[in-house]
Amino acid sequence: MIDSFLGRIHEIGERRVLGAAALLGLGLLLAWTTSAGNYESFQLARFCIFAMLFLSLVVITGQAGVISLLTAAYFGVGAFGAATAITRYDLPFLLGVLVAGLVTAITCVIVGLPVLRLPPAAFIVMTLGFVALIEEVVFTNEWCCGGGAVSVPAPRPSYAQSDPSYLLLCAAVLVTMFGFTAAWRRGRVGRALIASRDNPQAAEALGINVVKARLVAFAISGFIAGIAGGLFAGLLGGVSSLSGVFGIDRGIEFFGLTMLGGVTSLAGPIIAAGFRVLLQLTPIGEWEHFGLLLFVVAGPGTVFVYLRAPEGVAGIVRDWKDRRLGATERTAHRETTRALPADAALMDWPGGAHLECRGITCRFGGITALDAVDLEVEPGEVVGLLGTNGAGKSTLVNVISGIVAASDGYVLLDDKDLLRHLPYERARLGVSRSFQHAQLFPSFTVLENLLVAKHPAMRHGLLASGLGLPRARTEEAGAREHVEAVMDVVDLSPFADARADELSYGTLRLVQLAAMLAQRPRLLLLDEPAAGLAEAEARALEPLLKKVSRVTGVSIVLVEHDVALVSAVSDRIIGMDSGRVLVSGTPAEVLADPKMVVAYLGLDDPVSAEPAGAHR
Amino acid sequence: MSVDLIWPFLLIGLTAGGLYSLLGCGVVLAYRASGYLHIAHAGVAMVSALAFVLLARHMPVAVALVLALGIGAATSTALYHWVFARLEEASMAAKVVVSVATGVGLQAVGGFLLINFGLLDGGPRGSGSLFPESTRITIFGASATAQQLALPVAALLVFGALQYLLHRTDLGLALRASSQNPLSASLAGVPSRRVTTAAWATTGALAALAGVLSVSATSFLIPTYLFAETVRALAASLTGAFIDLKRMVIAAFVLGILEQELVGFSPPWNAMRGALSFALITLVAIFGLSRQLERSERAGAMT
Amino acid sequence: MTAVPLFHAEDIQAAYGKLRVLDGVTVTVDAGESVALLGTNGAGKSTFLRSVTGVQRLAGGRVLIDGTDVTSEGPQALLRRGIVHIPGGHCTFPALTVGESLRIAMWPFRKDAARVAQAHAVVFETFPILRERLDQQAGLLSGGEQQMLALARALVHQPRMLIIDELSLGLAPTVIEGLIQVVSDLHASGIALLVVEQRLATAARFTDRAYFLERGKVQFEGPTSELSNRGDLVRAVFLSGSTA
Repeated sequence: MIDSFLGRIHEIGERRVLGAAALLGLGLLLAWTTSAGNYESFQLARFCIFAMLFLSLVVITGQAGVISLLTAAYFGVGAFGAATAITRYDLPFLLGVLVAGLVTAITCVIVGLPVLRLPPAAFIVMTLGFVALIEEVVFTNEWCCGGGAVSVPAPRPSYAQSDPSYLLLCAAVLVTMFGFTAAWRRGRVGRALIASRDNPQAAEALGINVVKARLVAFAISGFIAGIAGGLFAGLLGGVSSLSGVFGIDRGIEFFGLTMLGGVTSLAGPIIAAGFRVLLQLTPIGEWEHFGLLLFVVAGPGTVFVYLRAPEGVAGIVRDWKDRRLGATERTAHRETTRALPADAALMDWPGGAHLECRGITCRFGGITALDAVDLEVEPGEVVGLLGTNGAGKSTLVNVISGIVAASDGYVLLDDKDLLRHLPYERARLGVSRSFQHAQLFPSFTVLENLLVAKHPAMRHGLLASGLGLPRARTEEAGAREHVEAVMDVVDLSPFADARADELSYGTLRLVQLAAMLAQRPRLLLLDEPAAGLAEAEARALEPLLKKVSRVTGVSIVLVEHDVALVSAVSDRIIGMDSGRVLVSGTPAEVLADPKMVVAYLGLDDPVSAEPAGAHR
Repeated sequence: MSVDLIWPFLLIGLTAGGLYSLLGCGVVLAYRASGYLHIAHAGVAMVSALAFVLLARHMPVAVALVLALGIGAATSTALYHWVFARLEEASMAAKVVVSVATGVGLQAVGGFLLINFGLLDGGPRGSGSLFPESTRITIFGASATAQQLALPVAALLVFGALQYLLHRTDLGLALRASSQNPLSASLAGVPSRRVTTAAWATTGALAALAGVLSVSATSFLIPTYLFAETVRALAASLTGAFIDLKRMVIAAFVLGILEQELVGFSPPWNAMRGALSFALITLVAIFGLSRQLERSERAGAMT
Repeated sequence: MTAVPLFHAEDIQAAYGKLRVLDGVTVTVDAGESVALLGTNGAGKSTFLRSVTGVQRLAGGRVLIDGTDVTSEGPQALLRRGIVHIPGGHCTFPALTVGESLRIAMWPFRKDAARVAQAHAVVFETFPILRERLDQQAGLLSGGEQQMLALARALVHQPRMLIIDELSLGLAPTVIEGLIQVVSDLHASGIALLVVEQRLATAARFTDRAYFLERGKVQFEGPTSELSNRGDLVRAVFLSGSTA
């Protein structure tokens, strides 16, 4: 269930701060554990475990945008999974915990699959039902979960028997998890997730497999929750369904607390877990109904977050910090990292593709949007599509890019049958389309927006990203270099570090064009690039598009109402009306054609027009 | 399971189904009014039931009932005014989360009240039941208490009243117009805000009614009172896409009866009865919805 | 021509998020006049209507009715003064029956039986088919019938002026013909019209004057008949795009 509300929030940079904090924390911990008491160690270990559990929410909700109330259930799956693996299969402790993580990851993926097809309301009811199912059937089952009142033992490993040493183990896992997550969150996979969250359609058009990205997020989130559960079982020495932490109300509480802490930041889980656990070390924690207090905070707290502070406490702190430091730090940062823009002409452009559409027909209900339309584009050519609203221009582009299915006809891209491929596959084949409203990712800077476009060009996956392997770093550096060159072509370099939602509309459209170019396309489908632009900006597009065509050699299909733009830029124009091709030829020929003038301005009498289907 | 047990379990199933149906009426009304998935409905029911139990110690049961209905209506209206109304333009996911969070908050409040009045671990029995315990009615050889029969009867009465309200009164017309097209409705002079508030107040009263009718001599009030039942009411409402009252009522009764009938079977069916019947309804709803989804997707593909 | 125009939208500016859609548009309608608002898609016609009827916020400009500035009054301002806006396209209340839809339109005076009866009489006389469809859900009506219902709901208020957005969109030619007839009759009975239309020829059937919008500005203003006859003007617009 994707929440567009989360699309408005931003990411914060954390790597250096976190790294330093982690090292410091570990050092202190080592020094302290030699003399620490058992109760404090126990609670601190609990803190580490819950921080990890809430981290899973940061992945699935903060990054992927899927609301999950099932965290507690996954916690239980992990706990029981680890206990069963250790007890029934005699697995060593850490291996058992790892198995628990994998089992939970698989569960999370299975449960999450329906989210891709169901409306949010149905999905939520389904998840509530899933919890009921798991509580009544799985957690009471004898084989894996002790059959109700009996607890399944989960003995600690020999090297972590005492509470302080177990704490060290948990802390080590915690730091590893957080470090790994911090690394991949900012890399290729992390960007793809946020892009899928903010604007799935644009992400698809850029070649990101949104479904796969979300499933990966489910798997990671489940894995983290499962590990946390396994460690929890070890902490308690065993787990039973009476533990009271695995029910739906706890799941809601976990969600609420993490939202309050800040679900888009790695500091959020720390804050939330700190509140939940560390508070218990204080006098307030002595109160016997502390559990209820958690609900009071989680419930209204979540409401508060939605009404006022989407990024929770972490976001509030971050905003305050930004205001104190001002813009000066950001510009300083920009100057130090801005290298000389690479020469666009020297970049290796793949050249234009040959496009052939024959007999494209498109019918919805009783309406024929396209009627046996032919379109041919030579490599490097610019072909303009001209016509009124309802002529079918956008529909034709939709058919080529794959958003809409054709009822008849074929589309060949350099002899490849395009219609067999899904939209994101066509993007990877070199078809790049723009949307009528600049479809970008508001959370990202211009540079990051363009890096998202490089997603299919890079290959490294989650592990490489998270571990910071050389392959990942090389690919990122190469992508960055190419993106700088592209920004140079469209004169966007000054805006590289500006956030997308701070830009003017005209600049946004330039960013969109740059994103398309960053994919080294062979065919550009430009759907009304001048729409919504002021006069001056629209006129500036003419030399820009000509420059793009010249420098990159890409084939372009240009859909536009702006007659001046189309005639200035196109080599050929196709005039359409009511789903059919009216005329075809050079701009001068087409614009002088009387049929075109009549149709374009709607001068013909609708009653005397041919009654061939409804005209739209 | 022996044949002569079918009828008695069916009778109990009617009680369960009646409860789900009554809760479902509130859920559907909330959805029609503001597009909310009203999971907090359980919280409102709980708080009202608690109020009833406390009040019934000091005054006649009938008066306590009326006051409890009022408290339910007031709570619901307050929720709408302070929280739900501000998020009317938000996405469905946001609304769901807020609804859940509000429910949790209400439960916590209820929990504190329970602690305060010493009811958390069970209060004196016989507190606040509407009907005398001893009254039993026998139908076709199986007997049920008056209370157990009151629920399905009330559910059907409420269903009838709601249908009448929605389709035969101006208020209902105003509500339906406002929920379909709030802008055009208010342009036409319909007081959208007032109408929606009235709908939410009614939802609260319905929650209170469900809560009060379920309070019985043998049950203890807990913070998550009626939560599981509300989830089932949501599942039943899903079959009608949260709009169709008739389908919800049918699904609610089927769900209740199915659950109780499974009690008579041996394990593991017995243990799975909650989840099993729930899964059934969900599948039916999803299957029906996916066809609806396909149709609307195709229509949306037109440019 | 009366001295004070019935409807005068002056220097209207509107934006959609960051998009500047209207850049200073002025439109005047005198009592009893029929005016067309033409232009291609994206020219800003629908945005103009939404802005002047108070549904969308204005970025600049003002709206005067009978000389009084009503810009800050919101959507009710027009209704109070007898100007009814008929938004185009989809059905307004798809799940309500025709009868219920009419009743909503009559909401302010629904308790006045005499007025209700009179309103019904007017509606059924102008659109006899609606009487037959009284109990049908509006969303299940044909496109033409839905437009008739929209017009009927406006007539209930005994308007002085109708603002109609895309009357003919998506309808078959014969249906459009019927609607043109109805709208012409309404004009003949003295109701002023401001009509947004895609096709110049349709607009020419029942409007006296026309404005032509392109890229958020008025490019042409004049008698509708003149516009259709002056091919050179039309072609100039066509060829030069936005620099007319």
